[in-house]
Amino acid sequence: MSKATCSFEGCHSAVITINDDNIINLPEQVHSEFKLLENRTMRDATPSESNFLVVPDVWDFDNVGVSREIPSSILGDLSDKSDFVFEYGNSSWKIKKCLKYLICADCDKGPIGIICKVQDQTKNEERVLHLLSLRSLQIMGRN
Amino acid sequence: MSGLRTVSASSGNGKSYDSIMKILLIGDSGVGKSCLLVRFVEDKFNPSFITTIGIDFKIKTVDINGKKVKLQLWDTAGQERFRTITTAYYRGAMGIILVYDVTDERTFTNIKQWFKTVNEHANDEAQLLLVGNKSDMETRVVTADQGEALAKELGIPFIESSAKNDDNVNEIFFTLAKLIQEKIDSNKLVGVGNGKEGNISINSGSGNSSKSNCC
Repeated sequence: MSKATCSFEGCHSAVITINDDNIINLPEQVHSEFKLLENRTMRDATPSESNFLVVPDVWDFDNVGVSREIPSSILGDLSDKSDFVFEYGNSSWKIKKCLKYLICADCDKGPIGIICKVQDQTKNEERVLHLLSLRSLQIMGRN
Repeated sequence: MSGLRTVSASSGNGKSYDSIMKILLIGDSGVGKSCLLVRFVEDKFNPSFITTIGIDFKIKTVDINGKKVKLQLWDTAGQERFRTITTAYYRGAMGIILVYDVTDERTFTNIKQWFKTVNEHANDEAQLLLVGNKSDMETRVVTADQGEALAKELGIPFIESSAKNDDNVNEIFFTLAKLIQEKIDSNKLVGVGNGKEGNISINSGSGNSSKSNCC
């Protein structure tokens, strides 16, 4: 069982225990598109760290900060940009809107993830999910 | 007592905590409530756009007598300026921190009004805590004795704090969580702290902030 912690020296706040079943793949551009924090050294780079962890319930986090609603002036309109699609729970989901940011609860650095409105591609059902950027964090206890 | 930062609660399967507590920060604007919750120092890794957006709430996991307790800490998002904090904000709150600024007497005087408001809106069982913030400042006008006296009069515990000192800030949350846990353990808060049921209305961060952010 691996844990995601803050990547910064002197912090390493425990963010969450990773459930491998909830790791998803998103296109590389997600990081720049949503202005997410990049892990400086990538010294612990494993394939999963370029991925995201789907966190269905905010109480699953051990320590996390949640921003207020992101004003449209910061990320602009997503509708005309490339589609961010991922597979999760036997469905294919598309990110419709980035609502809020996640930051480290102890040193406030980030953003380390996003809270998004996503839409099921086939059923048109909408959900809100927390997507934690594993690349923005340090992964402890893998291997 | 820097225990707030190192705890990791997850057991891996099922519920990763023993109890959850919604805690609110209340007081006049400018007393430093937000600073107790975040201490944004803008740099490359704390970009200004996050500071601008501001923080809705934080989740912190603490260990209290061997129990994993998850705290959800809320700031008022400036609504106190208009005294328009809605009942929704108070709903499900198990702990309320009344904050004043030791360098500003007016904020100290207003605590009684906040105490009254809290009693009108919050759960009767909610644990209150009086905090005199900015205790590191040389321009102090409210003494620690005055704070003690007011706390005694209101029948609530009292701490002075400096948001510049992380351990001190964590101690506030830890102290309050401990008091709440003791209430739960003595069954005064039955059914509130043992799961999500008591806190359903608080918006578990699922993005519907327009409802729960009580604007």
